[in-house]
Amino acid sequence: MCICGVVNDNSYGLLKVDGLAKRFSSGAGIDGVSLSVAAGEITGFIGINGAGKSTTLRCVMGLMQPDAGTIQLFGAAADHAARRRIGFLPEERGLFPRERARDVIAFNARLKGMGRSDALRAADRLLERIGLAGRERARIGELSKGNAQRVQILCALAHSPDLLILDEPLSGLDPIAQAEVLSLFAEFRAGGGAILFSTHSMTAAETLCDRVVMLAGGRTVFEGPLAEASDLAPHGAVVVTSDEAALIAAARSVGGEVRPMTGGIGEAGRWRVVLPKQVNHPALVRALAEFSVPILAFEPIKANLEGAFWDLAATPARIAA
Amino acid sequence: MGILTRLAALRPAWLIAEREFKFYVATASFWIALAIGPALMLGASFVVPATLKPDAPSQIAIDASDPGLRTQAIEALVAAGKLEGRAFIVAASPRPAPRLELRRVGGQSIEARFGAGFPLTSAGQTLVLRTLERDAARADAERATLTVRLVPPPSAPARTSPMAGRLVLVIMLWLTLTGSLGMLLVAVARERANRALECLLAAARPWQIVLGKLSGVGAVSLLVLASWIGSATIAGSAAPGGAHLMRSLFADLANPAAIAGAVGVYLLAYVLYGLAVVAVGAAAQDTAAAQNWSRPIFAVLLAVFFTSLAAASGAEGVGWLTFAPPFTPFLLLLTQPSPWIALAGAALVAVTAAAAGSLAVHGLQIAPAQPRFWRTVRHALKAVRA
Repeated sequence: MCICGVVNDNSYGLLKVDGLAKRFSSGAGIDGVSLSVAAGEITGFIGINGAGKSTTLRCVMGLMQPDAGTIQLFGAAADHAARRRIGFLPEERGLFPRERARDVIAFNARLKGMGRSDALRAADRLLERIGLAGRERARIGELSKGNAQRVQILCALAHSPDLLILDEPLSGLDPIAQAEVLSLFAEFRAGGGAILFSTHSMTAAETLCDRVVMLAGGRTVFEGPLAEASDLAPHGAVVVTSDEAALIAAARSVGGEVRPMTGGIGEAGRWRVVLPKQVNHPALVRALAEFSVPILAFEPIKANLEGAFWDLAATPARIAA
Repeated sequence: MGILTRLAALRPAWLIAEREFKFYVATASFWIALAIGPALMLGASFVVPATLKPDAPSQIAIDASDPGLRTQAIEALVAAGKLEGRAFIVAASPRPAPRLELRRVGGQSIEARFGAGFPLTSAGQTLVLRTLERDAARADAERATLTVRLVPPPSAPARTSPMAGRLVLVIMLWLTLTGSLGMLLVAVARERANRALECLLAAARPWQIVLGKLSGVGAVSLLVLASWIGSATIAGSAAPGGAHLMRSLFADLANPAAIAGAVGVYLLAYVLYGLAVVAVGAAAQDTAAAQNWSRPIFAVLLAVFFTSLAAASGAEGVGWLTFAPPFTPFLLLLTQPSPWIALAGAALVAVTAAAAGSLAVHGLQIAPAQPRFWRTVRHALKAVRA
């Protein structure tokens, strides 16, 4: 079953954002966000809280006017008509508790231009697909929080969009519901649709994404294929110790470096040890033992997306693709 | 093509209006509340006349010295009883009943005595005596009955409807408007309170949302207004004596031009106040803030109500308020000024409504997560300067 509207030509970008900037009076905002999404691809939009993900997505959807930069949708400057081809799940989301699941999905589909009967059929089909068949008449207030969120995701999907833009679609969902939603996204991509979704779940991003865009301090610090992001990640470990000098000496002995982190335990500090690619974790453990470093906690960091995220969030921009 | 595009642009507004209408109408509480007003009106129209019905016939006895006098007394009692809404049954003499005793005293005098508890007021009893005197005088004169007819003074045809009728319309407009504005405020504020505004803004333009909200709640308010006017009409025509009352109160409603004028005035007031309330709801962060910000609007409406009462009672010095947009629609309906004054007043209302509409649209456009009222004002001022 295909839940995507059309199969697009992959040769052009469905979404292309270049040099986007938006500054708030508080000083926060974005300054130099660039990204692109191609048809049939799932792009993960990753960044710590306050990095500017939601601001970027709001600008793309026309909810905010950017101060600078360009946004192209489907090969042309973004306008209202082009935005109707997007299924959007905002960060600020909610449904009226009194509305019925089927009605709210159909309403959103009709707002995007779908006919009444088609919208109702699409709502029934999607509710069945996600395991809520028989609950079409249930009011949102009667559904569990997870089910209500699933209905909200279906609202973005119902009008068969060409591009899905989802802001934290997995937050508030239990692991089973997350798996269901991820399978729904995979199905959407299989039908030729493209997805740009922001997430804090590196596991979900690694499972689903073809490409990732990383944001830090309001700027794009990495954009490229998932594999390249993981390759960039230096591995190492998080170490909690009260002997800072011994830790630095041990790390240097294996060619590594030490960076302070927040969240120590009592007088003990929390440190991130970054290792060269050729040095493995047992070598670091041996060095720590040699220098008699008192270890309160030791947590290896693998060279995966999470490692890349840790690293890239603290480094200047690197555009890979 | 241009017209089709414009009509297509109205579709989201229509869908939002439909949803708003259903939101209020598809509940049992709405229909119960809607039925209560007309039911009370209809009930009152039948219950009140019923309480004013003449009493059941009272049994009385007449003790007269001759049969002719007895017959004349019965006729006089019937005439007096009609005026007081009473009917009598004259009982046979021996039965215990409130009694009227009549005795001829000499050739030119009759002595009358009303017994204790006789069912006539003292005025009615006096009328009985005067009627007996009149009939006796006629019998003595043996002439035809003299009749005196009351001729009403010539009256010029009324140019305007009675003030009472117009005041009733103004009160109806005010009540409907106040209720609608409350609904409209909630309709806008709940989008933000339920965090649904971003979803809506992603699919519809701010002006479409404003138009949709205004139309949907407006349709609900028209339904309420229609039920009131309809039930008032039914009550007026069905209740005894009510038709005359309704005719006098709603004399203008027989005139299509007057109806069109009243509808126009209502729409003018609804759009002006509605857009102001939407602007407040759009700028407020939650329902509580929306209610706080809207309080001045309801205070103005209260001032408008009392000003209308003053104008209806003929108070001088309120004419200039026709040019103060919050007062204009009500005073136009109440004072029926010349067409030029009405047109100028309506134009001022339209300009003010446009400014409120601009605030409403800008209030929705600003970053929905962090709305600020004064940012809205600044934004609007910038737009006006541009």
